[in-house]
Amino acid sequence: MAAARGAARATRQGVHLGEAAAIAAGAVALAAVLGPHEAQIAAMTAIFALAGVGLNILVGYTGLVSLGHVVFFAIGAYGWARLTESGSPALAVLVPILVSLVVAALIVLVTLRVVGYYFGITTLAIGLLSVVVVQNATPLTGGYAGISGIQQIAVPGFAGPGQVLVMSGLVLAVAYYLQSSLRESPLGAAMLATRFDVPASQSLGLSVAWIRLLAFMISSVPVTIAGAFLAQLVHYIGPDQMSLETSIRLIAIAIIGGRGWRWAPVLGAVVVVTLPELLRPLAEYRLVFYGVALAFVALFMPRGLSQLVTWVGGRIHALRGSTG
Amino acid sequence: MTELLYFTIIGLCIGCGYALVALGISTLFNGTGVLNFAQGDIVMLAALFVAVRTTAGGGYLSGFLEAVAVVLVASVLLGLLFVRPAMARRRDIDLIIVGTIGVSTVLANLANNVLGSETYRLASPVTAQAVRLESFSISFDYFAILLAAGLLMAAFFVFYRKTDIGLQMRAMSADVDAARLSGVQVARLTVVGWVFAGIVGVFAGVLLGTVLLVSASMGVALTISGFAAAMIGGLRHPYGAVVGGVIIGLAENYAAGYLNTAARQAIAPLIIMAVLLVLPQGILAGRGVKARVV
Repeated sequence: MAAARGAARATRQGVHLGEAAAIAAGAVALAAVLGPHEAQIAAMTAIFALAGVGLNILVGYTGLVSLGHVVFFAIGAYGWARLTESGSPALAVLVPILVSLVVAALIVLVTLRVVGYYFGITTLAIGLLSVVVVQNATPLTGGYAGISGIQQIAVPGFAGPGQVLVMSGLVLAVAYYLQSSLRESPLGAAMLATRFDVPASQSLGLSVAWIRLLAFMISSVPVTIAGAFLAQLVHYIGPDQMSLETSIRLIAIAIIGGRGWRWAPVLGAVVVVTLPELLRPLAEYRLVFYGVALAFVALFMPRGLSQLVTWVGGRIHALRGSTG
Repeated sequence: MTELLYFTIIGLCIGCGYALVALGISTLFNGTGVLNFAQGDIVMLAALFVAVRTTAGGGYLSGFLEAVAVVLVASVLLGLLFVRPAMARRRDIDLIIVGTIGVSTVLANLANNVLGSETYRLASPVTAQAVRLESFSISFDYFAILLAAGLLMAAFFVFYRKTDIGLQMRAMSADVDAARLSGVQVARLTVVGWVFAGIVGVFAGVLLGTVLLVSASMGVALTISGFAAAMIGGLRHPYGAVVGGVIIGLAENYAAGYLNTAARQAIAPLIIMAVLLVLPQGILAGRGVKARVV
């Protein structure tokens, strides 16, 4: 029995590994064939999908809604902008990740005793605070003017946005695989247990506080890296990119994609980032569009796009069954 | 000393405006279990609508009535939208949060696209009159907020305690299932709750709009101030909103007066975190009141 379960799990892991490889290959292929403008859009999508992985883990596995993740996005972006000037690229990513982990731990300590709605309110407050800091800590962030002339990691064989697309695509593939592995792991199972039934999971000996702490810290890492890639992609970071709207966009990706589903970050990013870029009429009303999408999904399609995909899959299956 | 008195007076008056925002949030929350992240945007919608109307040469009062009509339509629609989820998914908090955040995004950006992104100062009939306080002058608008908020709170008290609908709303906020069994039309009352929040929001908008800068993006800050006020009072106590609102109003104005605008913006979020750490139930909570898990 246990052996069979182990075998099934190994098969699933293999599938996820294959999917991750497909994501990486897709990003490289796109970078090779797309023109600069399209590559820019594709890179933007990959970056937000990467950040969406973090939110998907938080909302999908533990059921916590965070409206404050823009703070990690900002740490990643400004950290990269400030640290590339002085040192190595590795340092410019790792130091912000460490800072994010510390900030995430502090946020969880504040919200430890909090249930349900209060967590949403508090994270919104944190998002607003981070916006105030970004706008006013001029020596660090350049204030309203922001920071321009940011360098990017060079990838031989590609140019401009294509380089960022390749890099963020590879990191996205890794994050995608780790997200699936987390879901299969005991920790992932523990997160899901706390999402659905706190008293029951406590009676099994799970520490809700520790799980919440780990989930929040884990979820902050991809968002931080995504922030660094965004800074590289547009060569500029300012308060207009680090507004609360960014926080909402991140949560929208996870929810519209279907919280907890492994494809949610990628498909959610396509809906929230790529579609408005491609459909010019949408650009004007972009925010209205995803506000409506968000409210609609929340009210009538709780599992987001995954519901749609499952339904279509079911239809195809039924049709195949009737003909064969 | 005069400076301190001046900041205290305007802080107190603006705080009463925040109390109205918080009242809309806490009555809807108690009645339907929906914590509305779009309340500040409803307030913004009313303020901006009247501002655009008066700038175009319309009257303040007719603008106010039109704003009531607009917000009424919007809140009935929202109420109808939220009826089913509010009944079926009271426990699915993350979806309700995201749903109202979606509504907030829609309102803020529709207002931005339709009414424009300019910043206004709303002029009411009493804006021109002012009280002199040595080198400071306090517009009658501030006292109008104090007066109107006081009257509204009194009206709310009577409505909540003495009318049948108020009784049903209180029943719903105590226990939805029990209320349903005693014959409360829960679906209808959900819509009533949204309409109520909308109307209170319009009043808050046309009052606060005269003393704050009005723009399409002001909603989020108002929502946060409203949350902070409601949390100080305790979300379960609508009257606590008054105390909470005044505390927030005073703190913000002292920060703006003695420090800078950045400090002013940071006050409400910081107070939210302080309240969570020290008094998760608010100051008016009785002994042993548990945090409500909706």
